Amino acid sequence: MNKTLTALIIGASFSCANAWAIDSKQVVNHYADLVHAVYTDAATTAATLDKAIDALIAKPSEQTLQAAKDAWLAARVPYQQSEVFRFGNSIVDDWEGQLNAWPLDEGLIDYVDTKNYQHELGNPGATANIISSTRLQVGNEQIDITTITPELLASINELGGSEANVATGYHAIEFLLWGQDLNGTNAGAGARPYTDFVQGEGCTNGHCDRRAAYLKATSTLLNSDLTWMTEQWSATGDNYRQTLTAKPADEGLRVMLFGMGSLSLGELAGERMKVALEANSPEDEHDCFSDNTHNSHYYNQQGINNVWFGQYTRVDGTKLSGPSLNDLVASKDKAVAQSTSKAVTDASTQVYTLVSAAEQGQKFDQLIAPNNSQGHTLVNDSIKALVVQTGEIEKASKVLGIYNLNPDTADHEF
Amino acid sequence: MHLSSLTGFSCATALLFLLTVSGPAKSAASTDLAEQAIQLKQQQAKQLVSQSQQLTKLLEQACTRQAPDTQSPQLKQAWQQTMLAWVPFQGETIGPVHDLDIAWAMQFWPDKKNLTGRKVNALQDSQSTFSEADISQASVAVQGLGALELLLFEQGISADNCTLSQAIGTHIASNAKRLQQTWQQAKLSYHQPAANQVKHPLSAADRAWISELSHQLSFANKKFHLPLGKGEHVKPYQAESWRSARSMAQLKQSYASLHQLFLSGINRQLQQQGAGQLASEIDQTFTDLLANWPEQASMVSLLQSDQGLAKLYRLRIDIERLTYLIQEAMPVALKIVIGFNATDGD
Repeated sequence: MNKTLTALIIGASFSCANAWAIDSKQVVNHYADLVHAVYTDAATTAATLDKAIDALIAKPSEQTLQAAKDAWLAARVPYQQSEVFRFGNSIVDDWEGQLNAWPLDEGLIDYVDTKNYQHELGNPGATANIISSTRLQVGNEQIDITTITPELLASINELGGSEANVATGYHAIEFLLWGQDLNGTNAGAGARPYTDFVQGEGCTNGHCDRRAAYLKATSTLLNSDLTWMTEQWSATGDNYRQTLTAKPADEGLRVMLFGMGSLSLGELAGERMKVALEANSPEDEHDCFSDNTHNSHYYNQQGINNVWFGQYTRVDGTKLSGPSLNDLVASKDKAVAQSTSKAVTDASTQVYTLVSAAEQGQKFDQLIAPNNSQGHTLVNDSIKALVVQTGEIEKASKVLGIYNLNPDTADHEF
Repeated sequence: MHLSSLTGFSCATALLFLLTVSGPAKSAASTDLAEQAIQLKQQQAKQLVSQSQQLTKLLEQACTRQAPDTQSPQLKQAWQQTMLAWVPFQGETIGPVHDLDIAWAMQFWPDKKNLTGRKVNALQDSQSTFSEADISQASVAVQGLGALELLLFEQGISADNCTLSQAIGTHIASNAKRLQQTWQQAKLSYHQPAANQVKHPLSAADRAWISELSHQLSFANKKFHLPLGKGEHVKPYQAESWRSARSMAQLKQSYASLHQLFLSGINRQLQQQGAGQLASEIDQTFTDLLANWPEQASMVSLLQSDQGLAKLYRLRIDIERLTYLIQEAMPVALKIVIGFNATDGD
């Protein structure tokens, strides 16, 4: 299929999206192309972040710290769109914790304000403070952490079996750039001073050399992880993509649908919105140090939108499009394809209201404040739109004859 | 990223099952399966009301005494009975728990970062007397059975926490009452497939209840798996009721009530659809699981010894088999999409 032609047709109207014969295999192959493009962008933006971190460490200042923060925010745009690939693709799910595990007990990494620090019950790593220590006690065992390396940090993830022990990834970097957000549900993000990275005289909060080494090590690991995952989805080579696309096409469709539905309902509507809202818990917002949660949510939803419509706008502005789930469902049941498309589009529009609110000064942690009824309505409306979207994804699955949506257990036999 | 729960809703509700306050008492689509399931829910709701009212009454009696703690054993017992009566509603995605959005108000779990403890402490620091209205406006973490568990089992009932305990108890009882009333008045209707869709041999009502069995099983399984943690690292604080050491007793109640739901018509529907063998296997697996259940009420104590862990690993075999039969074999045999629920992606 000529991709330019496909793009034009899709762009013209959903209703004529099934104007050509389409098969499941094409849809899965195009999905693999799309995944590769998203990870390529995630890797590119992480490389830019790494350079900004180098500049911050070389010459700490308000400007270099702000530039690193800006690069982190830009890097989140493609990465959050990749989360829809997580559920269903075991290679992604097994790998992503090292990059995006959340929520984290940040006292594992660096100093915290103990009066405002909430951590997992029974987690011995919650106050370990790797930056200030050269030894880490784990049960009866001591780990030498004198030299901070990417490998060392990776080995500390889930220390003692606790998923809150997150030593690496986007949120570890976010914490090192912003610091704890001590404002609760009031305005304001974390406010770490750039002097936390000043070497020698002028260093604040101690151990600036180790803090800089930590930041660099975790950025290095993020970059190598993203490069590896990008290779797994390359069209050439013996990799995960080859394995996925060699399976019956229904397996690929199942992966796509399960990824969309799981992110939409359990993760985004549930873990990332409803828990924070109903428990009035800003600690349970996703990008809690930087107050970038609105964008993280929006780009998660955009990822679902991308998979359904088979489209992706790359960070350089170019557009990728091709045979989609929407096309495939429309070829079998036009009405279901139209209602699912509407639900996906509506969910994107609704979740974007969180971005608009943030741009007008109401960040996600303010929206969930106990007395902010307008804010609650906004978050609840997003949750509702995601629930409707998930229901439509189920309908679409039925049209395609995918009854068991969980690919992890689809082959499970006793 | 990984854990925590969303018990308050499922998209299945939006699709398959509507609870309305008006309309015909018996929709054309409802069947014996749906009717029996609703009757079961009505009985369970009645039991929940009765237990929560007993708990409220005992709280009131204790708090009018000079030394409230003298009634502590009876109060703890009443809390345990209320909790057991709540268990059959856990993980529901259709019906009043969903429509009234009271799942987390009744019980906020899992609670990895001890939101319950922190929010209760903050509340106690902020004022000294409480009304139900105060509680209904507060974080869900302080509204339900988990917060009351903390007050009864960790702090111990005392003059200092009496009004807070009573306010929470009253709030639980009034939510239980709303739940029961809504089930009693429930007039159920089910979305029918679009005219152009192939007619399914099972009604929308049957499919909704069959899916519900699977969704509630996911929640029960989560209660079992979370405290087991990964490898050698167990997570006792993620057990459902670690403060009262009752997690195993409650978990047994979860599987027992699922078995009840299965026997209230789903088994017969499977037989009628030519899947009698599968129906028998599910029934037998429930029976084996419950027969092998350890006597200990506490999960934390089992997690702390090799012998205890061995018992949990033995249970895991039956639970995995049950899950396979209900979540993998059953939808394929009946050609139904179970759909997503809040535990997906955990």
